[in-house]
Amino acid sequence: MDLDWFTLLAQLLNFILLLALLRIFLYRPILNVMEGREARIAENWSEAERVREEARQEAQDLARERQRLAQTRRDRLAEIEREAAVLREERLEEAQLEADQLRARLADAIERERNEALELLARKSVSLLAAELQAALHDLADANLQSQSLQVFLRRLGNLDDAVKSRIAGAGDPGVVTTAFELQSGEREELARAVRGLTGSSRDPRFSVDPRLLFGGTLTAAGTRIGVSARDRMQEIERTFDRVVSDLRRAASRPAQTGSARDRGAGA
Amino acid sequence: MILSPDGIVYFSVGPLDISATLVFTWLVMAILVVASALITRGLKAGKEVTRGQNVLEAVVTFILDQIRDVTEQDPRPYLPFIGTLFLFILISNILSIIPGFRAPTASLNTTAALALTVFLAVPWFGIRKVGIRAYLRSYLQPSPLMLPFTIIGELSRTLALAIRLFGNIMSGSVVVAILLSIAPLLFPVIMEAFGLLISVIQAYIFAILAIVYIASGTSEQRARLDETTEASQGGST
Repeated sequence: MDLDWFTLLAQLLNFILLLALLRIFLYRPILNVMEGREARIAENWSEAERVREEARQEAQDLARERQRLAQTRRDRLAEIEREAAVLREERLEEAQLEADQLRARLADAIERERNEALELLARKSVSLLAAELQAALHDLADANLQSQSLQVFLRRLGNLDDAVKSRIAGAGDPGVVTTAFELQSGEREELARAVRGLTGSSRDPRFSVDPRLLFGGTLTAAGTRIGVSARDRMQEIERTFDRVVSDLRRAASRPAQTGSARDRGAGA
Repeated sequence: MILSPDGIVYFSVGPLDISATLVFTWLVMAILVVASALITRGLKAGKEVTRGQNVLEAVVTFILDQIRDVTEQDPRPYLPFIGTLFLFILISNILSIIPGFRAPTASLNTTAALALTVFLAVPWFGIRKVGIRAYLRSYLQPSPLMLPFTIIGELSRTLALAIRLFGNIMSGSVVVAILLSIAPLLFPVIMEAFGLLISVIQAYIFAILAIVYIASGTSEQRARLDETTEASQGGST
């Protein structure tokens, strides 16, 4: 068990040599491989971490996108509801306005038809009344009524305006005298004389008979008709009645038009 | 009965006797180098590796973890030295179960040489780590009076390393030889199996003690101690 310095030194050198050889053939290769594998594993790990981070980021982006879409959908639905409410309101107003207009037109039509019916009724009544009155006057007319009406006719001729007189006198034509009955000679002469005095002419007027006058007579000269007859009175009554009916109709339609305009203004 | 391989001389080169210690050391070296070359030749850096590479990486990782646990430093600079110590002692001890093989670690010259390498490695790694001034100053800490005791401690632990490994391996051989003469059938087998366990444990102990000694010369604690001492000296002056 003594120490052999040669063997000890040789073993020392052997160990150093073994250390150098193993460093070359064992430790350096295995450490390089292990470091390479560790680096690769670390790289894969970091890649996996990066992918996971990307996936997490993508998931967050998708969540935000989903929230944004949900918010957009809610906003769009609210907007659609508002638009639908506005549209419904507009349609209701349009329908209300159309209904008001239709109601106004119907009211106008009814009012017009009523006025027309009333007018027709009035005209029929007046015509009937005039016919009945004419028939009654025809039955009552006789020579005395004729002669009295001729006297009135003669006074009318004598009391004409100067303008009428000058227009008739300027025409030069004595005109036509129309009576309801055939005149007696005295009556004819009296009328001819009055006409000649009126026209200033020596010619007698032409005479004609028109039973529709019922009684009385008329002078037509220079486009002017002057006369006193039951027919003229009846026509005057009809014109007066027509004027009164027209006035009443206008008076009745004015409040209706004012009411319709007020309804349209309230609808707008 | 020859218990130490130093007593077996195969041939002589001039005045130098080539004993079994040297021959079997070279054999172990050849086995380790050839095996390392064969194993590392087929190393792959990909995901799928061979079973042998897995075993090799597991062994290297185990050694690195042990070094890291003791030194609390990056273990890679110490791996070749500690790993070579461990593998050489382990293979030498394990091969001793082969009849005719003489474990080089059963020689006091071998264990002394290994202990001497540890003795030299401690200042080598320490100076590389903390610098020569800080390392030499550590011998004077906490007091210059401790210098002789520190030197004695370093020598004694080196001697202890050599004697411990030599004694354990040689005692195992002696016990086996004695039992073989008494009961040649059963007990030698049991003792050889027990010797395998002792061999692994002794390789582990030697390597651990070596890294502990190296760590004591390179530890951050020593560096901090130096800084504290410098600070206290600067404050006192």
